[in-house]
Amino acid sequence: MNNLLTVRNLHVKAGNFALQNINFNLKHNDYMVILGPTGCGKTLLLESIAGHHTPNKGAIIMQGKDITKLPPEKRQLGFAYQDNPLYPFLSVRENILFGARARKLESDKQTLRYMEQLIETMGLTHLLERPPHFLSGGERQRVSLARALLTRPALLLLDEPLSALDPQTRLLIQNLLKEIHHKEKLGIIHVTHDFTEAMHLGTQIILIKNGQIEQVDTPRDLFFRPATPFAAQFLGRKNITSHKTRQPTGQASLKCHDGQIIRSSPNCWPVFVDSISFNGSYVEILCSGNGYWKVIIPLTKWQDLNLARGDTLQLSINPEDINISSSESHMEQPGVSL
Amino acid sequence: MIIARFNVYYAVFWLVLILMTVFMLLLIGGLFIYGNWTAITDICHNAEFHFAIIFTLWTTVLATLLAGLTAIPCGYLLARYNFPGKVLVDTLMDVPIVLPPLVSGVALLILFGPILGDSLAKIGLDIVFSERGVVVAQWFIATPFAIKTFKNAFSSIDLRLEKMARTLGYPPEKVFLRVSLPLAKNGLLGGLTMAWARTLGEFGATAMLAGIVRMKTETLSVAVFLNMSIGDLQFSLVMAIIMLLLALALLTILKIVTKTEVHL
Repeated sequence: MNNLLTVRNLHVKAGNFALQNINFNLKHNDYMVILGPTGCGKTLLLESIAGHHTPNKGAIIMQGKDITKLPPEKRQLGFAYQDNPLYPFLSVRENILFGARARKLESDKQTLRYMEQLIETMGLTHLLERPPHFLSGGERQRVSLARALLTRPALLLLDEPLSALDPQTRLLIQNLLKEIHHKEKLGIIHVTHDFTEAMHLGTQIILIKNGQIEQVDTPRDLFFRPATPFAAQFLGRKNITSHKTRQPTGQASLKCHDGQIIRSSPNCWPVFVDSISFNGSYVEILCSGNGYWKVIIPLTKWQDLNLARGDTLQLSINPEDINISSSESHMEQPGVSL
Repeated sequence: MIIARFNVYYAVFWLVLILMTVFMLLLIGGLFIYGNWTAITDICHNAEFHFAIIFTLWTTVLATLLAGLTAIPCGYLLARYNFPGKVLVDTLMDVPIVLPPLVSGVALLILFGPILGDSLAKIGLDIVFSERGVVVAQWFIATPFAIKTFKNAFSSIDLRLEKMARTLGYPPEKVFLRVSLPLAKNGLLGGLTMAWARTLGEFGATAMLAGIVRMKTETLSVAVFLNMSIGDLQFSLVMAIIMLLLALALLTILKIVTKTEVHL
């Protein structure tokens, strides 16, 4: 029994929205990221695993035990929400101890020792007697995590825990999450709509679209081999075109990486430079010609190119970087035979 | 503090507010100016006055507690759940607010008289023309206000805090006691204060259900009516001043408890 969590053929209806046919396995020590746009059902899936929604169909199995019908208080999970709501009528210390109190462990020596450890790891020592409304976003996040971890859950569920934080604090908490994952050796399911956050933290990524799983993969495979045009688009690809294929005959979508289109090489085609924008360490060039293409040039190489808007370029794609999948979404591109 | 530049619209708004404030001060001041202070001291030793004060206090406190106990489940369910006929149930809860208290009193009289009177009498619960009737009438008038406020208080709770408590190990009943009630505390206290204020001023329904009987069902409101009807203006004035002071104290407590932004 290698899986910490198995979600099998899960269907959950909530109002007019439904999660359909959700299947995945989470191994012990996996850091799984559920990725998808706003409103695709990420939080609903997380809350269903936590037991706040009753599935219409399917099963949730944790450590070999079917927990589908178990109430949330008996699932032994940790949960931290977006914006990290804390109990305003309790101090930081009482907030952290809130879950332990439910299990009558607030005086247990081991729990208290673990709490001291968590407080130190999270850097909360100086905040313990404060009421929550005096805390910053990052501090609230750390209190929320300590509270969820104190009950020693086997699985930690995080619902967009970094979305309300400034970039610096986000980076700090990301590293803290990695450290916790490594140190506590617990499974984590982390919901986000931010693909860079998913790439940074996840060992497995589930991409969801309209309540259905689009792709389950490792971050690397998802990034380099997005299975569908939606996956490629969500990962920030601009170079997605629809084409006819000879073998097998049919419609396919072609996807290639932003930075892998280069100037002047064999098998190239002419394009016009539509726009040039500087984005810190790189320059983004949007071109048109047999489709629309995005070219990323590192700032260090930019000076040599001497490009301007309206110039003509010769573009080519490294065949190894082309990723072809059956096209199930409409692409506004002229058909090109490959 | 917002300092608005001179503008004719703001000027009219300020004028209306000032006139309204002057009107209220005149109204309240009139009671104090017209009252004979010697008579007030005498009335303070009057047995009927003592009865009305004590009777009003215990009936209103009891009715408010009962209203609170009724409003907690009603307000919580109306705030949390959608069920068939919810609009109808919600509207039914508002009926005593829109009905004139006298009409509410007539409806209560019919329910606890011809319809349920005999059955209740068999178990020793006479409601009509009794002290119990006063409590029932006050409860009936105050409960809808409590339900409305409690419902708003429960609706304003971040549901995630309740869900998180479940995940942390609390069963639903403990989530209600440890999370929902403390989070709704301000709203609940505000609702209870409103309900109590409403019971203090109750007259119409009480008069219909419990009757206007001196030294038996005589609340402060009833005492004002009884003494005005026999021309004892001074007694009525003292009662009115006491009720006014109580109302002012209650409204101030309400604003402090519910943290309404008021600059003194």
